[in-house]
Amino acid sequence: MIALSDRFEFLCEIENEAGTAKLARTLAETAEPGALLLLSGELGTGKTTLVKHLAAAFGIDPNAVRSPTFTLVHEYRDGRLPLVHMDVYRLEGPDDFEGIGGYEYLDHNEGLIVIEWGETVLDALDPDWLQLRLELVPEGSEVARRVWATSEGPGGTAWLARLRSRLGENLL
Amino acid sequence: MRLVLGIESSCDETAAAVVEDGRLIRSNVIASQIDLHRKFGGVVPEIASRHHVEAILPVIDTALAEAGVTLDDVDGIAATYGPGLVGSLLVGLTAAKALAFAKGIPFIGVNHIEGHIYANFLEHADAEPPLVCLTVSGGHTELFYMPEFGRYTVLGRTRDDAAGEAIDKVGRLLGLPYPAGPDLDRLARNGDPQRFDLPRGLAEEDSLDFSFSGVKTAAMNRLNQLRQAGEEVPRADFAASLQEAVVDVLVEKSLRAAVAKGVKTLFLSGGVAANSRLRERMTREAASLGIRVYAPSLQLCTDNAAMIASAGYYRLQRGERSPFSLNADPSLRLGS
Repeated sequence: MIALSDRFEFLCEIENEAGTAKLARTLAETAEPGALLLLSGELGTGKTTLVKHLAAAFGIDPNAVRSPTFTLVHEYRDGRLPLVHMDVYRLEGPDDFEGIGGYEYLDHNEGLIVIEWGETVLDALDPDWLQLRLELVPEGSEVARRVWATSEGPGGTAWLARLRSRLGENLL
Repeated sequence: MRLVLGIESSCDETAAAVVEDGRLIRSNVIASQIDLHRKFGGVVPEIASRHHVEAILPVIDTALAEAGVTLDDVDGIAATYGPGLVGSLLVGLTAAKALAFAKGIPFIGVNHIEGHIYANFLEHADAEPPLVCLTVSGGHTELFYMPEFGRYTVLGRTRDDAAGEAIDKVGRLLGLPYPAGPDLDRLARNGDPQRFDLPRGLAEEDSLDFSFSGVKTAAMNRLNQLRQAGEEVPRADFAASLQEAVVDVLVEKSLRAAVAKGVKTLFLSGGVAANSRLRERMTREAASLGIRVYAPSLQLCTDNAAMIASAGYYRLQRGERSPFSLNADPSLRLGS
């Protein structure tokens, strides 16, 4: 079941949507302006749901957050920090990322940028990010999520350290 | 006001069109469908705002030429200013403003979602508000009430995934290429829609909002179970069951909205409006309530500039103008 690359380390396990909300709140409280969060994980592991809860933690209406798979980029500027939600699922690599204006968003990031399926454009990014990987864990009738984390660069690594210390126990 | 030049570049497509009196398409040009290769010696990838820059002027020239007119014949220019990708939007919007300024032609910015509604006015001369419109695509699932031209109330919208996204993502798990909608539609025609019981999101609620994230996840889990059990996936049955789960909710909520508003006209618009099962069931079930359903032809379901020209025409006709300071709004919403 666990076939992740070595760079990911176990972060926490989420039992239900309240756990997702707690992870999102902790992410929002430990993020510094200009942060970049990459979300990985198969279809249906809860990436967009995590972003909804991140938005709520920033004071943005979570019902306004919808999947950007087709529309590519959604911006929310009415919260405590600006939130940019990107989905690069249907991009084919760094050229497409440049094409959708990805670097302009990164260069002017005054809040938080979240990129779903971020591994697609990993090579195109300056190495300073936090990356979470969500994985489904079938447990009886409930489906829980296991969350793995890795980071690059000083900002991403410091964020991950703050996140780990705030999460404390690993079951949310 | 007779001829309006419409320009659309909100996401993947660069498009221009000339429309007469808001209803008659004189030309309708989409970059991915014309031979820019020959004009530019390069291909036009689907996703890239810098390619909008390369395509925009040839596309406008082609639209004018195919309509048999020049800019001097054009009475108004309409361009999409949101929602969409800011870099992509700016290309079409800036071109439109520059042409309007240089030639002294009235200019109007159009909401892309409003444009999709007008695809129906281009093909159905008898269609008029008041009406309810279901706009459903890979990026949007929204129900609007349109009491008259230019006025819109949101009755419901998706709280997570758009219907087209659920169809596309499950379709790809069935091995279909992006975007999976058209292939899934074909596959489903030979399938049993009752074979797999998949959830109908928010079906029980009074709300006219939608949710398609649940059916996507349930379908994915069911496929995983089948594969782990070593069973062959009955692809046609699975496609038909997924499509039915999505269509059930779209039909039920749209008809409920139309009845609540007391309208006799229901529009479908957006890429998923091309789905044959949605068109067939919506038309049949609406007829039993005395409601007439209109849907655009397949080529006007997806992004195009003729719909922008039509929506712009009705705004210009009412005397509305946009200032040249109008900026792209990536998060623009339609209606209150």
